[in-house]
Amino acid sequence: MFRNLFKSRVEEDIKVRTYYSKYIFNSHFILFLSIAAGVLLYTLLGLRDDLRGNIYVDLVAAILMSVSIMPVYRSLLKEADVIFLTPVEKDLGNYFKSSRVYSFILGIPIPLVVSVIAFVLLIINHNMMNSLLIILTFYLMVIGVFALKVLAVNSDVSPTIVVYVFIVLNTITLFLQMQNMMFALLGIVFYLVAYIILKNKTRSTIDWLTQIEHEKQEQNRFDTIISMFANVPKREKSFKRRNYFDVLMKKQNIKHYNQDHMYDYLFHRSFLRDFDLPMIMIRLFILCSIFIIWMGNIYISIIFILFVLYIMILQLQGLYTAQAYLLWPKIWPVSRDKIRNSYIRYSRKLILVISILFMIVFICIHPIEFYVSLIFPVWALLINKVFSKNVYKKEEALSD
Amino acid sequence: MIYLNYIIHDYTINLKDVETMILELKNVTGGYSKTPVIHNIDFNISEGEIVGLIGLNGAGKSTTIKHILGLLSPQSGSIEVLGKKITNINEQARAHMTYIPESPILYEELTLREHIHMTAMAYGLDENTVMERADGLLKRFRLEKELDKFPTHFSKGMKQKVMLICAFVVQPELYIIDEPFLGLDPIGIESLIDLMVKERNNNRSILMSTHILSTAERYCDRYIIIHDGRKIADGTIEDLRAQTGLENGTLDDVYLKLTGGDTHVS
Repeated sequence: MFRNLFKSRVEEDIKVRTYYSKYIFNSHFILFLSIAAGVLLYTLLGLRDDLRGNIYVDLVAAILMSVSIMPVYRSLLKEADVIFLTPVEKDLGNYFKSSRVYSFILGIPIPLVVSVIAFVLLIINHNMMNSLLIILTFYLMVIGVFALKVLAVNSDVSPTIVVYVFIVLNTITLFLQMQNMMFALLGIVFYLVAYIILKNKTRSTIDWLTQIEHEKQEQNRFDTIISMFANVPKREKSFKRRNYFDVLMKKQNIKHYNQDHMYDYLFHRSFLRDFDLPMIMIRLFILCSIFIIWMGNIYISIIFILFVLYIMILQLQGLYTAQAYLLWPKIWPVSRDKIRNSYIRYSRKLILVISILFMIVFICIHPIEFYVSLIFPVWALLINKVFSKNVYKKEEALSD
Repeated sequence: MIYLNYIIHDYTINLKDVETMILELKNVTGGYSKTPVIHNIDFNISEGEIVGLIGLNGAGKSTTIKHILGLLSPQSGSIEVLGKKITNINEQARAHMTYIPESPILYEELTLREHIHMTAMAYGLDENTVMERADGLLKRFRLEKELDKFPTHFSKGMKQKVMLICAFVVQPELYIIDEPFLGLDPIGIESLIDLMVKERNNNRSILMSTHILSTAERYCDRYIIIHDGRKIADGTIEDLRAQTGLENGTLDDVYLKLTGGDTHVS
């Protein structure tokens, strides 16, 4: 009976993933990925001789593998389960076993791709046998972190902390193993200690509320990833007060205290207090900057900045859609055009600031070709206009 | 000349006799899809009146309110606010009313102060005026120390008070309140009743849906009773008593008599 329950929930989840995958892997993105992968491989192979003996290559490979171990644990539990499934908790063994298998499979693709890239990096400094052994250690780590995360979900320990601690420990282990294979034993010690600690802290029964909360977080995490590529509404949008951003939300200038600017006021706060959005933007900016500085190639810089701007602008649309479908804009005596006008004004300001930051990074790396950087604000404004039009169209169709 | 003066005098007297109509529903039939939930609902609210919209869960009270707010379009009939017909895009009509939903709906990303600012901007109030008005309301509902906190972290009753503050700060001609006492503590209920009576004395009107009849009976001027999506009575408690023949009956008794004690809602 409960196997069927899990089956129906898995089918539902797969349906959602399939639906969104077509947005992620659209032809533009595939084209970008192919170009980016080609350029990356070409650059790496070209640099192979120069990089030989460089210890930083090992460090990059170790960090790359460690950060890719972000296991997913989807119990697929729903809020109502706390009422309807608790009486049959003892019969749910198969349900949770199936959910662990499903979750593990979900977390495999990224480590698989990363292992290929890491292998290319490893063979620069290591022989084939050792490189394969390091990759094997990496796969064992993928299983290990997943098992620890599952234990942590049903304990007082935060699964996120477990994952982040093991990013550090895995980096250390892998890096040391690259210098001496025997250091792989250090990893075994780390995992055994963590397993014993977590096993002692794990509850003997299911902590339903924590499990359901974790499932919601995983769903939100999935939505966040999807929203990096497609304009999809989140199931549960969450916000966070960041006191350090309060300085950017000083008292509204009195001349703008009116209907025309009320949504500017709201969008600004929605953006700065969004749980993920500002941090994703900052992370993307930093990662892209590091990558293009490292590569130092003008074509890679242009392609990556344009792509990151594309992702950032796509995510911004969520600000508009979140407001457009709420109750209050329908109740307040304010024309809906004012939401759009505010969004246009606010998003333009924001993307211009981001584009200027990218221009500065680009000019620092390629000062002679500084004029090329003008392409970034133009591209950003153009993309923003195209995406916004689609969002307005969708909103109009829905409100009809 | 004498005749003309007489006519003007007479006309002036007639104008004074006409009560200002704040809200008027004329044979409104509507619902969420093609199947109507409410049928030929017909009533009006004058200036300075508290009107109770009474009915069981699912009787059609919230659907009627959604039509008044313009969230749903009537399949037939019309709704007028201060003589202005409501459609889905009529901001002018909405400027005369504020709405307090049954369950608090708040912006997770805004503090209480920012909710007040948003409401003020939406209704064209200036910052000083709104904060002056808000000050009294915040004290009344004991939220003056919570201004810079996020209401989403408040209890349900406190959230409902935030909704009340945002609505009452506007001082519109018409308040539409859906189940106002839900989630409020006894002090909160008394504060709200005082506030409603005060607003009525200032010639503002209130349409309030409720099924807590004993509380409604204490301060509503008139009652509109909806059952199975149809209006079955409209009048003061005396009117309803006369209609049902229950001379000393409470609103509960009158309601049960009018609906034939039928608690079934289709």
